Amino acid sequence: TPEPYDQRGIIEELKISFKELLDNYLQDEKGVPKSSQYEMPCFTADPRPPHYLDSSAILPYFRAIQPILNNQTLDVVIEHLDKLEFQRAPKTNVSVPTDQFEQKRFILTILKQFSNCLNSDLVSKLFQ
Amino acid sequence: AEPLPLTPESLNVSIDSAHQYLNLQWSVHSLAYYQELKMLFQIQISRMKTSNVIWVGNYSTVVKRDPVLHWSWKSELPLECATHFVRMRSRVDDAKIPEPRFWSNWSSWKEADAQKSLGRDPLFLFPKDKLVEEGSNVTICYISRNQQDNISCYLEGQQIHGEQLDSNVSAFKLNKVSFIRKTGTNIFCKVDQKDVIKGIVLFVSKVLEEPKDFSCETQDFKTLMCTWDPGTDTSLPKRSSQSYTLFESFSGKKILCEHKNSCNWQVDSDSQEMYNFTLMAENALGNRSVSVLFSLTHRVHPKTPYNLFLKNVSGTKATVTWKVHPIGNYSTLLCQLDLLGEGNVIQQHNVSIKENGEYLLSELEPDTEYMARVRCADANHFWKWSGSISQKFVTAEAAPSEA
Repeated sequence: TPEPYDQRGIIEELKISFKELLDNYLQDEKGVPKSSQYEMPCFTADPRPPHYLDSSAILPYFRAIQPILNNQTLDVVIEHLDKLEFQRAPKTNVSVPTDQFEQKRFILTILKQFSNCLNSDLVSKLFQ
Repeated sequence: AEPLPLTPESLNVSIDSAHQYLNLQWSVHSLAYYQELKMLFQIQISRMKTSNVIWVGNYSTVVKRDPVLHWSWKSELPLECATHFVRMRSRVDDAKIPEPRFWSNWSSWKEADAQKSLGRDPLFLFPKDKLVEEGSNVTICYISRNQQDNISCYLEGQQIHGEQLDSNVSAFKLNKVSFIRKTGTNIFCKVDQKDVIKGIVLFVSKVLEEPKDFSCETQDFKTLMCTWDPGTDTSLPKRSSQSYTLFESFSGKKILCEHKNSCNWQVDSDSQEMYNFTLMAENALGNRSVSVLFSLTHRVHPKTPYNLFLKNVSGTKATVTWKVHPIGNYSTLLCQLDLLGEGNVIQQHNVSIKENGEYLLSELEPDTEYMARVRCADANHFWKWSGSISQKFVTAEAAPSEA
């Protein structure tokens, strides 16, 4: 897992590419409401001291929407998240709704929840 | 005498929700005396209740002995949105039977209720993920399980208002829908004051255009290269792709083209002279085609000449040589040789050749830079010039005049 100053750099780049991803999606897909049915976890603290950020709970969600969005900015976001993944975390499988409209709601909800993750205390502590 | 008219029997109605079709099947018995009879079937379709007839139409066909007959009706309203009822009657419509010819009794009403198969969700919205062409009219509807629920519906975030079909069913007519994005138009309804939302995606594809500037040509009598302008791309990811097939009617051969704007056709060795090509563009909603009839020898577009050299360059003369790719056994090429000086064509010569070209340029100025440029076309039937090849050269200095 990268050192803290590396993690800061990764998070800063992640914020930039993710903002572009979210802004584009909101622009492209008008008229899609969020859903309270879908819940995505945030960053967790790496179990080993000094407990850096771990993205392993988040990555399965982004990997699940990757084939649907087929978007280069999303690929970049996933590359950044890969760097923050604590390798030995259990891999979880995320199923995406098959219904087309629910699929869009799922994607929008994931993206909006991740936006909150990037502003969470765990992340901001990295920059203190 | 024969007890005519013959009431349609065993009427069966099945529902094809995805395509919004009611498929009818029935039979007419005891055509004892006639191998076949031309008959007319009048069909009535009601919605919500039998008295509410929304469509009447006739279907004419030749009935053979004890047949099973089929016919389909397309509903503009998703079939889940309302129960439909169908009945029909028949009348002989055949010259073998003298007038007057009477209608049979109506068959009994047959019910088609697609709502029976729906689950227990509080709200439904239809049609689900329908694919339509830009400019068409689409009717969507919601079904609410709880009549007290207040439902509001939105298209691309803008509220839309519909027509109540029943206490818990409303329909929304969307006229001349337009293409918004490849991932479809977003429509949802929600139960106000509750977190209940149901949405659909309406996939609107651009109108498939007839291919424009469809043309074929050969460079070697081995391959015909067909090209065209496909117009707007109507493909939608995972929904509708656009493909092109090339059919040649004299040979009866057909190929699926790999590209959206070009296709290569292998010319058989017996070198068929006339070609009648039909190019068909196709997507999930339909097809458009265009044809072209031509003679192979009238569509020769030679490759660019090569090995353009200047030799024996003196003060006032130069010999230009070049090569061309051979085209079939009998083809002669007409090559156009331009001499350019300071960017202007100052001489132009036509040379007929088969493989190697040579021409003596004269009346040149000593110690001057020129460019020789060559292009070729079929000598028998002009179609297109080949690409050009050029070569700069400088004439020798003038020999000193005799003292």
